Amino acid sequence: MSELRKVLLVDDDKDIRVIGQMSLADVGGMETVLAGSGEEALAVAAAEQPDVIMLDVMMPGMDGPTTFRRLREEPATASIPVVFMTAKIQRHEVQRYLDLGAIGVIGKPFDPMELPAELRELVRRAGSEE
Amino acid sequence: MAVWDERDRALTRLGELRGQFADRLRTRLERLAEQVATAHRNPTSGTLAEAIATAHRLAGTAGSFGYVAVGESAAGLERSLQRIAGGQDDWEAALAALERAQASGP
Repeated sequence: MSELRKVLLVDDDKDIRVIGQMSLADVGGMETVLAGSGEEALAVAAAEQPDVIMLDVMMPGMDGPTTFRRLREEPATASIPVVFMTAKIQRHEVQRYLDLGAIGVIGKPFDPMELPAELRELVRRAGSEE
Repeated sequence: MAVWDERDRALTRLGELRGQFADRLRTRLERLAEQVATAHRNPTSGTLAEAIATAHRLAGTAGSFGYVAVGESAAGLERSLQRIAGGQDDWEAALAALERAQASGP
């Protein structure tokens, strides 16, 4: 991927969607689309075709890992890279998400001034490993 | 310089969002305190799960708006509540973490 233009941010916490969108759009210059649940993420991802999806792990209803599996099952979203977001960033959990097929994990809380650079680096690394 | 102008605009916007979040943070801390008090009086899996979920969300959110100490205290509270849900008596630490979160808020 040459440039990160559009990001789908999925989190049930509206405040995270607000600060994440500000960070990705105002600091990172990325178009940012939002979803407040796993179910909504499936529809938005298929319709918007983002370059990457930032997916919260713990959400009521369909959680992050389940949403991830559903995204992979759909041809329209199967190849979109996914970065998990979690407040519990322990090494064994990070490895579990990487083993699922995510390209990386971003911890919460995040620094809104640094988040776009962190995301770009994960996408760049994933691209260089292909 | 354009890059610095953009950065300054983003910092200004961040300051505005932080100010707006302060009001919501007060409400969230009040709700958390009520849930912890309910769970302390009647520690069922339901009351504890509710307080754990609120503490978890606050742990992930507050620090992103610059309230780092609130987020860290909420994370400590979440850990204590999970220990309590697992059968341990960790109420002293849980209540201390809640107090720290409230004291670090806006």
